[in-house]
Amino acid sequence: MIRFLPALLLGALASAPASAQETVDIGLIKNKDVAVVQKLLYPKDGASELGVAVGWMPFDRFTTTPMASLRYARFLSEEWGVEVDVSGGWSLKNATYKELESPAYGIQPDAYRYLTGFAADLQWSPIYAKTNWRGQRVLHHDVYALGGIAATVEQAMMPDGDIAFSPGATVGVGMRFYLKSGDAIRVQLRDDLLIQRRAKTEDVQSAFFKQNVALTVGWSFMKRKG
Amino acid sequence: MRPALLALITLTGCNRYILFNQAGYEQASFSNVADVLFIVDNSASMLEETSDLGLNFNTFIDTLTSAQGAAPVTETLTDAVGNYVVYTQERGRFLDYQLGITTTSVDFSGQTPDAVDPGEAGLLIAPPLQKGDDGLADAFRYDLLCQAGYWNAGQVPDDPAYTCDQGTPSVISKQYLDCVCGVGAWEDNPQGSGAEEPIEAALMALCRSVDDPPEACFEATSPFAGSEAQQNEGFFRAEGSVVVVIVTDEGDNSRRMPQGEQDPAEYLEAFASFPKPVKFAVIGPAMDPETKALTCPSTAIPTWSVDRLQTVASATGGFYRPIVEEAASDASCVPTRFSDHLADLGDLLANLVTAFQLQSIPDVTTIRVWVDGEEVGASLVTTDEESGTTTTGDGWTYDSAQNAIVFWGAAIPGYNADVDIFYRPLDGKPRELPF
Repeated sequence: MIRFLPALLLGALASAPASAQETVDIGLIKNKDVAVVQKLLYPKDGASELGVAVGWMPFDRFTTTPMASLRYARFLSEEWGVEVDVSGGWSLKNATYKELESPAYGIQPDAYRYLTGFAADLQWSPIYAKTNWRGQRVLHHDVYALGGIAATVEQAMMPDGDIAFSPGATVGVGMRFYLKSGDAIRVQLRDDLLIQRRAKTEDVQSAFFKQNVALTVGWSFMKRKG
Repeated sequence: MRPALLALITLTGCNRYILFNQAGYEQASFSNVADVLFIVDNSASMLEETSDLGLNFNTFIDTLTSAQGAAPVTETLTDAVGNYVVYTQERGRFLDYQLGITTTSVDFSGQTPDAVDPGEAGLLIAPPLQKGDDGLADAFRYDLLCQAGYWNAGQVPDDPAYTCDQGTPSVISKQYLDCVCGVGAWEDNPQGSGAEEPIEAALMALCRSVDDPPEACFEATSPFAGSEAQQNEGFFRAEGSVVVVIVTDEGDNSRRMPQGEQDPAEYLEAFASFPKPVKFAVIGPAMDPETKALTCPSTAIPTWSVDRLQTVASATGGFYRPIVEEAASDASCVPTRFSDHLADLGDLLANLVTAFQLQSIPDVTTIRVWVDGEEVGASLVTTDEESGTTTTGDGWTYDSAQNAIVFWGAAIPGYNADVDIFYRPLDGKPRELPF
């Protein structure tokens, strides 16, 4: 220690005093210039949500489906909420379907057209996050997962037009991006896992496992208590 | 990364659907119009077969000729009722057909594409022959023997005893050809291309027959581009079907498919771009479709070239018949009976208005039929035990001999009806699927 003492003293003399920095005059700060970052600005506890959304189900082997939905959610706490969802759509033949039914192949898949769907789910949103956008804006958003029950009404695309009521479960993930008004833009990926009965193939297989995967973007009107 | 990929695969691959074969297309109609195109191989090896076709053509015409003439009599209500009965029971009589001939030669003899001669590159030998034309069978025989067929004078039999007033002989001779074509006129017919392209010739013939040829007609390797001004006037009518009859003793070497390729998907798609269905009836090399064994080949024929012809016939609801067979007595190779083939062709045309051919053998229990959007049930077939007579009620039955759906009674579709038939095939998919 004694060996290093001269060096230490010399360093102390040369260093700038930490507390003696010059002040910078930043002018008068108004309230609107101040953005509170540390608070949860858009709480959900006790809030209700009414939302509309449009989306697409593009992952089926033979069909592609534009769709729209109407939702109502009630939040029991900041993390948990319950929701009901009613949606409607119309499945179209995709390129593979059209190629199969052309005279070159002459084949029709026994695909079913999505008409309408219902879901009731429990939402868990453990994440409330803030994203700094290009150092100029702070976006508040949450991330949630959902799980529940679902059912669809679908119709055979072959001329028999068989109607199938298909119950099952639903899982999904999504994000709400909150706007200054308190409403939100909601992006969601949801997968309905269904059991579908098809009349024309009852002799070989009557029930099929079907997945309807929907990617939706919507507007949520949020009503908060207080 | 792995969980995300697994999730994506799960999303896209899970939905499974049973596939149904479909016979009948949106554009198809039960129409009484049929345009029949004969594609005849005019190479040197076809002497016997060309002779047989010409000698037996009457069989084909007889199957389609109405006993009352070219058109039904409808002057009174009794006539109309009578015609309706005949219509439902003998619908072939009301078939409105026309006939055209070209050859399997797609190469042209001139220097430029616009120098295509009749019989080359799908250009018809002569204007189409119409049902009801005077001397229809004789006119067809003239076009076939005197303009399309190739005759090696050294191989045609000599029959000095034949005179022109003796009618159609049992064997074609030089003297018979002199009578039909003019003395020596038949000797100038050019020999066809050594590379037979019957499927390409059929496509070229249809391209020359429509006012607005589809894009498939203008393929770079095809002689149609540059010669499209040369038309087959009046051959392709608005309604009904086209039936292409290919007669050849060799396989198909059509240029749009590489050598060795047996799947004519490109051509099937090209034919599908025309506004009415095209069926193929092929009388070609004898080859077992399962074992690919050739019987009595005239030359070394690659099996893939025969496969193409068998595939277009089955894929379009037509038929395939062998042009030669082994004689039962001594296993020598002899031409098959053209009278039988032409009778089958006549039945095919007559059944265009009665029966709908299926591409594959169906599971009969899965067959569903719609006519103009209304489902039609299967017929109730009852047999009177005392008399042994069978009565078939309104509806449809499956004819295993033809592999076709046959309509009965009030369920027989009217002209221009749209027919859709769905079924699950017993033997799986006949072709590779695009997924």
